[in-house]
Amino acid sequence: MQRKRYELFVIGTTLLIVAGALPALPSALGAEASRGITQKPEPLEVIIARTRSTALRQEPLEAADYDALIWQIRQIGLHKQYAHLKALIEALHPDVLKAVESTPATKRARFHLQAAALMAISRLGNLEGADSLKQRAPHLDPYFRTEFLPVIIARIRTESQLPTPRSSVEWQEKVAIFMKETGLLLSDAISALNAYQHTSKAWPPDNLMQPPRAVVALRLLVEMACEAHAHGVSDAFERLFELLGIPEKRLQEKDYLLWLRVQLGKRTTPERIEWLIERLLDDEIQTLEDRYLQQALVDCGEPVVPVLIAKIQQLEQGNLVSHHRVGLELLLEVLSTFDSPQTMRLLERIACRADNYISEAAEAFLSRIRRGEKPTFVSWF
Amino acid sequence: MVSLKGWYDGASGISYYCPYDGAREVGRVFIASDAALIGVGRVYLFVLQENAQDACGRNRPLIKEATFWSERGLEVDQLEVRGIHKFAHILEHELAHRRHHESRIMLPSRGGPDDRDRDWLRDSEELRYCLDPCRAHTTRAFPRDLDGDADVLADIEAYGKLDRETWQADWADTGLQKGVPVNPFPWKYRSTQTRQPPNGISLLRVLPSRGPYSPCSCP
Repeated sequence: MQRKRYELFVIGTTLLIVAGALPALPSALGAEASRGITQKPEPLEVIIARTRSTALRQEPLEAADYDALIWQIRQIGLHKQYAHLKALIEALHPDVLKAVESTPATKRARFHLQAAALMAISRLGNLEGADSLKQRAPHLDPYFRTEFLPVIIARIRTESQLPTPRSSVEWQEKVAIFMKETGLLLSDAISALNAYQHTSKAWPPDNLMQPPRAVVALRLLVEMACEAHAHGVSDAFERLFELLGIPEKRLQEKDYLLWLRVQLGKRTTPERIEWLIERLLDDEIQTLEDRYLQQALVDCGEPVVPVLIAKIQQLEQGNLVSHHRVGLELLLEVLSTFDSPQTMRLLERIACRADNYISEAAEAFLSRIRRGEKPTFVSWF
Repeated sequence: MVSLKGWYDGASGISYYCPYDGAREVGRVFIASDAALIGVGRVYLFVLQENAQDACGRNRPLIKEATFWSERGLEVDQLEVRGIHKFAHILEHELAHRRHHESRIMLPSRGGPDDRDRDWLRDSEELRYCLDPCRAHTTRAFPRDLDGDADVLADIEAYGKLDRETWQADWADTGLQKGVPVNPFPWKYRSTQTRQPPNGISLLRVLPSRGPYSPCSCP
């Protein structure tokens, strides 16, 4: 009876919203709070509710709201916020997948939502998540259903069996469990990686963005190696390379993301920040791969801001801005995802510089902040 | 050849052109459910900035995304299209990629000495068509995607086709040119909120060609 009453309430509310009889739901849920600067991020549940209500009113999902959705989904996975598992599953509801297609932010909104949510769920490693995902499976796009989901579920099952390996032996055991759960042989995964090395360079970009199941499995394996390394298994990477039979230095050419994960895993957060900033700054040519470096830097969180600002000020004082235009633009773009007053001040100052290239970049990123946009550069990272 | 992929079996996806050598799909354009006639399609718009500066510090014209001012500040302009126009735009976009591959503006595989920014566009063509061979994202139009400058060229040509030619075709007896009352035109520019493009802004409808500019060593 209670369920029936709830359903009637939902249907009634829906009709009222469609008819415009209620005040627009976004403001009631604090839509404005998600925009502008120095606002606290909203809970994912609220962002999803706004996304759904936007669709009901047949309005496009604002780029700022879309960004908040993807951003918050990724944060839940990165910070292992187990309490939000249900919201992550809800983000994969067919209505939400449909709703994000209306955003002007990207042509691939649906793709990014699925990639971000599935990665986040795999990071939580909760068996309840695996069961719920199976129910969502029929509504996922074919690529995610066939190539992504099986390895995501394999990781969840692996994490539930052996969450934190504390020794080299336990780590190798975890690798074995994961491969068994995926149903893949390591040799097959290596073959797939070798093929991906070539196909990922071919048009269209979907070839790069949609690696086969075995490559997704290797990426998750390396991510688990990072966690093992962080928990004291100092030779986690060496053991993995032995098993794979690939020297570390050859990873970069095979799959940049795989290589980058290893480099990040070997460093502490302050070391990562320093390393990523230097790599981006030394960039003479901006490539698609820089998106991965930028996302990795964003994922280091708020500690990035003071280091980035100090670095940029150093360049300004040394009159080196023009020598590092390309790298500096990439750093400014990263900085613009941290909407602090210091960020605004720095971007406003750079926007006034005589160097057209860099002042225009700063102006473009300032505009993004003012619109409340916070792009996720690589949703599947 | 144009193929419909994943439209009728409920699958979803993004349309694309497949230039693979040796693959079964070679030379075919695939139209997926992003081109379905329901919902709103979005056409990215670009302008030519004559006094821009490239990564090497040279002043030369460069393509940038079209923008406009609103009460929220500087906004990105787009054209929202519906119905068969949405389909036509995506088809023209993919056909543009095919032309660019066939005319060797684009390379079959990214990277190498002719494509230093690894965006599939030949460096010499980037110089010719007002893009920066030192940057995969000259226009900053796709911050959430890996699509780079190659998509900018396809978007410009697709918009040009749609604006100059495609819309004038009658799609049905009760299409745009016939029927009483007249059907609402299924276009809306974000900047003007009407079917009229913004005044005083020259949106790119064909690839701008300038130069010649010599290659420079990226800074």
